[in-house]
Amino acid sequence: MTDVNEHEGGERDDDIVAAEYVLGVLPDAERTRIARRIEEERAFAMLVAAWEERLSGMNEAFGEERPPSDTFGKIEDRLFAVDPVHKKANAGLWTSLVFWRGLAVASFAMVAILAGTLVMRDIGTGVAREDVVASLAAEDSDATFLAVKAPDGNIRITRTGGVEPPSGRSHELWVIVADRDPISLGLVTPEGTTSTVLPSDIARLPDDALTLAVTLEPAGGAPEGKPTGPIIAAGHLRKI
Amino acid sequence: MIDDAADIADLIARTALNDRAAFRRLYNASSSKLFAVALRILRDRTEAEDALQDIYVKIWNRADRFAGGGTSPMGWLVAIARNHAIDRLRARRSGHSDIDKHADIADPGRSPESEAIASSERSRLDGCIEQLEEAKANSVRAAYLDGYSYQELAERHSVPLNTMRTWLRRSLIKLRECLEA
Repeated sequence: MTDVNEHEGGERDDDIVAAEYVLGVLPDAERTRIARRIEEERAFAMLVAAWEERLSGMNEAFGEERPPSDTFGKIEDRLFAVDPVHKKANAGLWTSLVFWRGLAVASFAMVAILAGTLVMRDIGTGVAREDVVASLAAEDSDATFLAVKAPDGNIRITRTGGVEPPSGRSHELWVIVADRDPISLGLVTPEGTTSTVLPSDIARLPDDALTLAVTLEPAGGAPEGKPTGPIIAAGHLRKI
Repeated sequence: MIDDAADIADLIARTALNDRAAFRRLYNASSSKLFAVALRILRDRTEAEDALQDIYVKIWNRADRFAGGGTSPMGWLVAIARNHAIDRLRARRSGHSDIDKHADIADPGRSPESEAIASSERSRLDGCIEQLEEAKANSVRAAYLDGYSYQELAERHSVPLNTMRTWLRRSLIKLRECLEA
């Protein structure tokens, strides 16, 4: 919301920005940017915390409402089910295989549906028998992508749902394998099909060892080659 | 609320040490509150339940960042829930597209216990909010409790976006002054 930024001479008092963030009135893109600032700037994070405290007097007005009884089980499944030796992602979600598996489960059901629309979508030059597909989705995002991997490691990816990245942001594709940092496969064009190639050592791995993910990054991609933005879609490769 | 603040803080600290039993107790002590937050802002039970799962995944992953000290542990949890619910709401293309949906949600109940804990913070903040003009006070509450954006509040009050923004910024400054007085 540029008009908001430029209002009052473009001077934004950090404390007021923190207050607006806590009040919750800002649009999506600005909230995402501020959430990143909170992670990176301790002084700013403290302003936010002070406003959370100031306005917390309203929290009582939310009342209480008992959630469905099976919710905690679902949370435990997401956090712990796949990994019997309870292990926490200390380095964050990015290194948590459990998290990635959880995402993939969510997208699994969509594979069949998306595979059916594959021909309609005319992704590249069609799909050969030995190709594998990944349907990419995430629970808190309406973005979906369909990726097709050829035996030679070539990947074609098309956005099949959700909206284009907001201006000043890009969708970036990553491949994740266990015990390694995510590897960037480049930006995904907002329209049409993007072609990219897996690094050869990754292409040699079994397909089911690979997870593809799309994150929202600054325009041109994550500055340091490591994902910084939210995961908007992820999924495993599977035979169709 | 089952546990008092010190207990909740302790449960968060133990969750940070990967104590799953503590995490379960933390869920039992806080999930009714956080579900009410998600439900009020998202106005959809299914989505609120999905959001609640995400919220506790975040709590598990961020428990080690809870500062303790002067921070209210329940306030910290509610902030995570509110931020997540509002982010989900903003990610929807049209925000509150169906304002009437609000009528479907029953007024969230308050336990006698929580009613009895008339926190001094609440009454102080309420007192300060009441010093604002009515339309501004209502906008502050609608933003915080219902997740309305500047845009939506401007539409509701039939004022330009920048006017609403100026209203709320001034209101926030007044609230800060009033609370610090």
